Amino acid sequence: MIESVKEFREVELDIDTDANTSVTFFTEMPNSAMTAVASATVFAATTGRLGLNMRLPGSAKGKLCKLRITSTAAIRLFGARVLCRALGGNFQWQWVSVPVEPTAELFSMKALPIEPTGEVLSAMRLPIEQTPVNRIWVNVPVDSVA
Amino acid sequence: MPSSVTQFKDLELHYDATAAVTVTFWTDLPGGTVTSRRSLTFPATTGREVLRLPFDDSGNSYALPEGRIFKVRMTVASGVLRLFGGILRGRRLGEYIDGTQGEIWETLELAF
Repeated sequence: MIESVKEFREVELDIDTDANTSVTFFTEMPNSAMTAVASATVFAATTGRLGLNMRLPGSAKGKLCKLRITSTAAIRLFGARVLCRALGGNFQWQWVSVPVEPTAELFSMKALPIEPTGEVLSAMRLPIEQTPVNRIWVNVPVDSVA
Repeated sequence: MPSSVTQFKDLELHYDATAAVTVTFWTDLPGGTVTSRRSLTFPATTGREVLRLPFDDSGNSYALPEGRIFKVRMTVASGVLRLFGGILRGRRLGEYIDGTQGEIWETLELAF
């Protein structure tokens, strides 16, 4: 169920970007059509992961909102949230998280596909014909006497 | 479901080499083309050794290589390499947007 109209004040990103990054914020008010109410190339390339904020204009209101992030290089997004409050009462400003796929905090290991080397030496027979154990009679060719 | 992007931290080799081993690490991001991203030099050893070298160093501004697919190439100049094992450490990135390929990140319409 879509709730009351909200006023949006600020967007915060937990981000690591390699170049200038543009952030665009959409709401459906006025005119009941999702429209960009704030757009700025606000973030230069970061050195590692940083928390960056973008202020929204006072006209950023609506029941729905949408966030778009673009860049000409690579972006790694770790989190995003929006500061908002409901209108029509004595509501407090609160941060609401935007659904972002989580990134693992720990590294995991992956073995490379390397043919294993045996830890134990094994015997390998050479192709040498075996000598019989028992002696055998062998006919010796002798010329017959006429 | 799109394949996940991995951020690679370091490479550990179990090896025995009579000369230095050059390891080239390739990934497909950014850009979508498998390209050489890092070159590591594992020194010659006296017998079998285990050595781990990081991908992030001052020469790369401590950035880590990333990609959906990767390739490892090892070469030994005028020597012999006996490779017993290798381990890559990495982590899956939740959201990776490759702007060089025109990718954007956009939420659905959200109702808080």
